[in-house]
Amino acid sequence: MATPRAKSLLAPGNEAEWAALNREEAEQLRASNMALTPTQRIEQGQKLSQQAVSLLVASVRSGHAPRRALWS
Amino acid sequence: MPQDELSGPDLAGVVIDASAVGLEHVVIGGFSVIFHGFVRATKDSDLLVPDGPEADAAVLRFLQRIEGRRFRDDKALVLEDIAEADSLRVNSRHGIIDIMRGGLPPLDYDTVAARADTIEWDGQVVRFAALPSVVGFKRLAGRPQDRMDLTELEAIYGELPIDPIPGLDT
Repeated sequence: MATPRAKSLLAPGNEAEWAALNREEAEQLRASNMALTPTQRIEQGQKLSQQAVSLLVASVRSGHAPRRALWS
Repeated sequence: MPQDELSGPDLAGVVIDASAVGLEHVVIGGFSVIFHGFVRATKDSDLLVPDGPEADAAVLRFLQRIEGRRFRDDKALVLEDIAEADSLRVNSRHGIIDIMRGGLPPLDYDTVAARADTIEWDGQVVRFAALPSVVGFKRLAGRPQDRMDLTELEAIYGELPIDPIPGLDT
């Protein structure tokens, strides 16, 4: 049987650990974004946007997200 | 085009068709933020266009070419609608497009266009608002997404270039 971890991050009192993790993740993301050329960034942004809108439309169609989400 | 037939923004298609009909424009909004380094999703393409009858006629040619219809009422716009509007939100075969006229300097079309950054993309020269213009538009709009964009751009560039904006800073 696996030994339970002494401490879970998914519990109150871990704000400092989460802040450090979030900061590290954000810094990595910024570094990888800035390593792309402007053209690559736009292509990536367009792809992300098309995926995001496609998912949102599917969510609206299936009655989950409200239609007003398409307006904002 | 009904709202639930939306597709994601196709900036490349927008730029190709705007150029094909002679519509002068500068890309602002989410794609300009992406251009400057914060890669995120956006629901629309935002274009800043000049004011005046020639630009209005070019906007009409553009809307006809992209099958653009006003988002709020699905209306196929005519020249009078375009001339009367400060901004237009349309749905099109390239997704949602916000077409805006410039404001007061330094966010007027001439200033934003003169300092715009250009890249070649898909064989087209694409003009993106320069960082000071992007910062100005974002400060003026001040929505949560705009504030997040400014925070991310500041993390990349350090202190951001701030141009005084009439009505906001004076």
